[in-house]
Amino acid sequence: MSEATLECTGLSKYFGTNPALHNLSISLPTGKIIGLLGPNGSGKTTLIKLACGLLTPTEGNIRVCGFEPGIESKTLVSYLPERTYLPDWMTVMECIRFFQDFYADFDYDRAISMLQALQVPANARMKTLSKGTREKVQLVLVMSRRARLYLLDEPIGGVDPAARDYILGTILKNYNEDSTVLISTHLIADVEKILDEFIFIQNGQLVSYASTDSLREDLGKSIDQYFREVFRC
Amino acid sequence: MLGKLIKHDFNSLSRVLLPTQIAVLGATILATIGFAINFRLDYSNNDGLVGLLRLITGFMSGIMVLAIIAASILVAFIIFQRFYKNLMCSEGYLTFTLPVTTSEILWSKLITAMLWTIISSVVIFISLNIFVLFGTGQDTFVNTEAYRQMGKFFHEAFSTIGGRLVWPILEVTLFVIVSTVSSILHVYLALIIGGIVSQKHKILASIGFYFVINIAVSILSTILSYCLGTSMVVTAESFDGIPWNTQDALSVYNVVFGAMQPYYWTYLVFSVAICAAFFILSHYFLKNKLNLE
Repeated sequence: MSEATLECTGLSKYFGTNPALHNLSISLPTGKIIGLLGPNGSGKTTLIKLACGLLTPTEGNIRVCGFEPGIESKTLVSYLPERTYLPDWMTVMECIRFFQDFYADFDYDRAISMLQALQVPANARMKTLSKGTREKVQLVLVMSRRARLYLLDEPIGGVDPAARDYILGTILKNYNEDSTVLISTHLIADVEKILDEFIFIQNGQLVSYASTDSLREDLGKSIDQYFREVFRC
Repeated sequence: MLGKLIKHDFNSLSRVLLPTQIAVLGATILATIGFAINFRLDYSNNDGLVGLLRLITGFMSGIMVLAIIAASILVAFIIFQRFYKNLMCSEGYLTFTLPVTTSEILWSKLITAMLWTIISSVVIFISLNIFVLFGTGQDTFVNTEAYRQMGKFFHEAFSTIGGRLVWPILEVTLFVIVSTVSSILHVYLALIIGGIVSQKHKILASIGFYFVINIAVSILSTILSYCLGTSMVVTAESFDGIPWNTQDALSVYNVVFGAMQPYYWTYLVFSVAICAAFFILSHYFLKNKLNLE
C-alpha cells in the first residue's frame, strides 16, 4: 500500500442532517504545500478537524501516514486551529516549554528565533497579547515542530501583511521533503505563490484537485482567477 | 506522558489553589489570636473598650470557619472549571491534539483532583490543630489537654480491642477515598455529556445530566438491595446479637464490626463498580462522541 500523508476514503461528516463533508475521497502526497480552498462553510475546517481527531467521522475513514486519528497520528500532525487554544494565563515561554515537553519533534531554538523575528515578547502572558500576536505565537509553536503533516487552518487571516510574508517564508523554509503542509485559507492571492497543489471543495464535496503548475500551463490562469470562476456567486 | 500531563495539570491548578490554602492558614492564625484574646477577656467588665475588643476578637475567630468553607468550595469549583475549560472549550483543541491517549487525560484529571482534595484536607487538619493548640489554652499558651484526652482514648481502645482496631480505620479511609473518586468522576461525566449533547447551554445541560446520573445510580443501588433481599439495609435486627448489657467492649466490638462487614463490602464493591462505569463512559464519550465546535 502506498503511504499517503493524508488519505480520506468515502469520508462524510454530518452535523444533525447537514452534511459538512460528503463522501470525500482524496489522497495527499508527501513533500508538497497544498492549499485547501473553498467558500465559507465548504467543509475546510471540518476536514482538518477530522484529521486531528477533534471530530469523529459519520462515515468513511481518514488516515495520517496510515494511522487513524489517535496517539500515533497526533505525534505526526502539527495543527494550527482557527482559534486561540492556548490557556490565557500562560506566558509565551510557558507555552514553548509546554510544547517542548509533549512533542519530541519540537525545535526550541527555531521557536526562539522565530519569536524574536516576529518581535513577540517572550515573558508576556497570552491574555495581555493582541489577537494578531497570539496567532503569531501559535504559528511559531506549530511551525517549530518537525512534523510529517502540518494542518494550518487560516494561518494568516489575523496578522498584518509584513508578518504574513514572514510566516509564508517560514512555512516554505521549514517544511522539507518528508512533510506535507495543508493550508486552509480564503486569502488565495497571498498564499498562491508558495502552493504546489490546491484542493477546491464546496458543500463538503471535492470540486478539483490539481497542481498549481498544470493550472498555469494548461489554462494559463492563477488559482485566484480560477477560484473566482469556479465559485462565482 | 501521563507524568507530564499530571505535572502540567497540577501546576495549572496550584497556580490558583495555592493562594486559597495560604489564605486558610492566614485566617487560622488570625482566628487563633482572636480566640486566645477573647478567651482571656474579663466578661464581667462592661467597659466600652473591652466590649469592642470582644467584638473584634469574636469576629476574628469566625474568619477561620468562613475561610475553610470558602476554600473548600473554591477547590471543588476550580477543579471542575479546569476540567471543563481544558476538555470541552477552546483549550480542548490543544488537549486533544497532544500525543496522549484519552485515558491518560482522564487519569491525569482524576489524580490531580485527588491530590488537591488531599492537600486541602491536610491544610484544614493543620488549621484545626493550630487553633486547638494555640487558641484554646485556658491557663497556658499551648493547650495540650485535647491531645492528652485523645491519646488516652486511643490508648484505652487499643488496650481493650487491640490491633484489630486498625481495620475499621482502614475501611473508613478506603471508603472515603472511593466516595471522593466517585464524586469527582460523577461531575466529570456530567460535564462531558453536557458538553457533547448541547452546543449552546453546556453548563446547564451538564447540571441536568448530573441529576440524571444521580437518579440512575440510585435506581441501580435500589435494584441491588432488592436482589440481595433486605440484607443491604441496616435494620434493628442486624444488631440483635449485640450483647448491649455486657461490659466487655471487645465482644461488643466484634459483633458490631462483624455485623457491618456485609454492608460495608457490598457497598464498597458497588461504589468501585460505579467509579469504573463513570470512567469507562467518560472515556467512551470523549473518544467516540467528541465534536468540538
